[in-house]
Amino acid sequence: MSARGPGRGAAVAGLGWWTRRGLHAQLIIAGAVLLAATVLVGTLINIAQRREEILEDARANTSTLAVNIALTAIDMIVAERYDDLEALLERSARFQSVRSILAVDAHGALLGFVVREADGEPQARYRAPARIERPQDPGRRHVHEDLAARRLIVWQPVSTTDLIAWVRIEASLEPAFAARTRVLQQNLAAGAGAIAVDVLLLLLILSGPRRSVRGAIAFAGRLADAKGSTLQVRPTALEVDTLVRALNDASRMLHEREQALQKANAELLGKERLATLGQMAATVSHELRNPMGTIRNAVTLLQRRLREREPEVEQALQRLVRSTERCDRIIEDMLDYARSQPVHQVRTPLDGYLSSELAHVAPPPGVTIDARLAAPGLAVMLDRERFRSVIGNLCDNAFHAIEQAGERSTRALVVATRPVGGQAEITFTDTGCGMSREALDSAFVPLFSTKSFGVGLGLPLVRQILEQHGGEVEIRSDEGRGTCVLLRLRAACE
Amino acid sequence: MGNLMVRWCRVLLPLAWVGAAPAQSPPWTPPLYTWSVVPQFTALDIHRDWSPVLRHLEHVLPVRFELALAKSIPKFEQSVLAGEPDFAYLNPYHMVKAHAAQGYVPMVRDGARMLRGILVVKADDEVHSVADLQGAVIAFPSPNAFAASLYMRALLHDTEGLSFVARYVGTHSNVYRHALLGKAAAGGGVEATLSREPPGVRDALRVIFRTPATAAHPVAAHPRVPPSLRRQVADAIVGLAGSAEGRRLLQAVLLPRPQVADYERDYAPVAALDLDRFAVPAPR
Repeated sequence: MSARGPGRGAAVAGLGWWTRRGLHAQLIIAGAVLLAATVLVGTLINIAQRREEILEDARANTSTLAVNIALTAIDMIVAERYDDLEALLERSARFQSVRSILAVDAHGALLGFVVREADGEPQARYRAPARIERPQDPGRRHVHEDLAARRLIVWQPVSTTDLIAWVRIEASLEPAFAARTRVLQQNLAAGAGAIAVDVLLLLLILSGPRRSVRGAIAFAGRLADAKGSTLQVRPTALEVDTLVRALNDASRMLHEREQALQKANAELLGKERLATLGQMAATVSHELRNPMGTIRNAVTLLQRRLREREPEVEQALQRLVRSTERCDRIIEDMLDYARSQPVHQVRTPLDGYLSSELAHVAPPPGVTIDARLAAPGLAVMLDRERFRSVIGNLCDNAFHAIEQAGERSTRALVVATRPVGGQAEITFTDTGCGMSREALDSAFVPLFSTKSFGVGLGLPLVRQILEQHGGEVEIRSDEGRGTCVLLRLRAACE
Repeated sequence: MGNLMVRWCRVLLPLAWVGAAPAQSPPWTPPLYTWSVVPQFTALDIHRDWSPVLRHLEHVLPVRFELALAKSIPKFEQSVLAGEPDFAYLNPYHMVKAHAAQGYVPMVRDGARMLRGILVVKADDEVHSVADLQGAVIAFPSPNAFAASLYMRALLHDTEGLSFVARYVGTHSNVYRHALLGKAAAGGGVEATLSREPPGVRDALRVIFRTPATAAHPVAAHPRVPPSLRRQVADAIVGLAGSAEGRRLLQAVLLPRPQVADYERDYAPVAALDLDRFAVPAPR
């Protein structure tokens, strides 16, 4: 399994070009494209504005120059001082962007012509350029832009009352176009810089979340093996942190469910085994009942015949009787547990029921039963027959523990009741030997027993019956000092 | 005691100097002389070319010069005949007239080349000889410009038998522009002024006639100018040719190789040409 997670290559192969980029690349590309579009639009607007400004400047400057030339040249033209006129045109042609200045009289005859090529010195020419058409209207200045040739042409009339001459200035519009190129270059350079900074910033900003997402992907890939471990949460972005926390929760939940499943499987396995065992036990018990009945009848007959004749035999027969009863008890327990008969609950006053049942319990010599019943009037829903097994098993366990503890100042079993909320609590507290940790953990495991004669079905049967009543059982034990078994039953409604 | 005297001297001496100051005479200022130049070029050109020469003369001589610019050649001629400028750079005919009228004395002239009038037409015109100009308009700087106009007109009329319409356009440069722009069929100038024109002008013109050579324009002085100063000015101008910078200045004012002028030798022959027949008297 790769660190990037399972099946990434296969997953990527099925995605489109854009989706395959990944979120960080998408953000970077989208940011760069957005910025580039913004820069482009801004550049176009800037170019248009700048070009119009420069065109307007060129129109204004060239027109002003034409007016000045006309005002100065009028005397020279009238006085036919063509050398002075030429000097004036040469000086004027030194202005930036001026390509040529032409002066013609009202009939189109050449008066002066100066050409300036590139940034060189103005040169006088004495032959008029071809295809020069004078404007028809001498009453105003004529401005013409020839964008294809990148030039601006201004015709300025030189007049007193009548038209004397025309001054024609041809100015280059190259600066306007150069400004456009310059603006384009500057904007593109600035835009490229902004995009580079944007990409770097996004890379920097996204590196943390990207690392976290990659970690999350790898973690998700090994989630099945994570065994409840968690991924470290780095503060990068809300969504990523939430994702990591969700993965951690999923990891924990998965682990818990796996554990629960394992436990359920074990229990199911145990139950199946017990069910099989129970069926076998039930069959065996049922088959043993008849022989046991025969034995019990035979013993009774022998006791009746040999009573007061053979004291030793009588004692042996009594032991035989007790053993037979114990066997009956074991058979009953096994049958009870295996059959898991449904309970038939009836409303039962708890204290009265317990008092009645405890009266039939015969404690071992030296052991007392202390009934501290404190729930008068509290009734519970009980299957009285089956609950009798609960009382019998718990008393037997307590008596056995007390026996195991040996001689003590107090050898007693305290049975107490009390109402707690909507429940009744019944405790069986003995002063016996208590239970070890291991015994406590396995107390409800069927067939587990610390008694030499038990089959380990007492407490499992108690829990089974309690669960059938909707109650629960809990054991608290202090090894060497005693054990308390707590039963909780729902109180019956009024 | 000695220190006390020194302190008193420090206080009193400046006071004594301040008290004595009003009694001093005003600072000496060099005498001012006017210097006029025949306006065969534009005023701007004349000012540009002659100002450095005059500043140099002021530097080496205890005098100051003021450049007097006439608006036209007739105005210049009028001022010279009236004896207004102390010094004048003028053409040989003006020299003769000024000598006769005011006693102006030539001091230096260019010795590199002689003055020669030329008649120019547009290079691509069909005019090939003077005879082709019969009845045409010919531009001249002014009526009394010597080689370009006066001597030229005399020769065209007397020697070539040409009948033409003279148009006076002020300057040599304007003469050449008139010829180039077709405002006149031909123009009268001199070799020296044509050589100063831009190549575009020189190349577009063609010389079809030349006058005989005469002495070039002199720098003349009014007789009221002290002879010693005249000599100093002549020496200073001649001395300018001793340095590269000086030669550059002289080249600009058409005196590339100045030499001392002599009226009898250089300009008396001009007087013998009897050009007054073609001269126009300066307006009064």
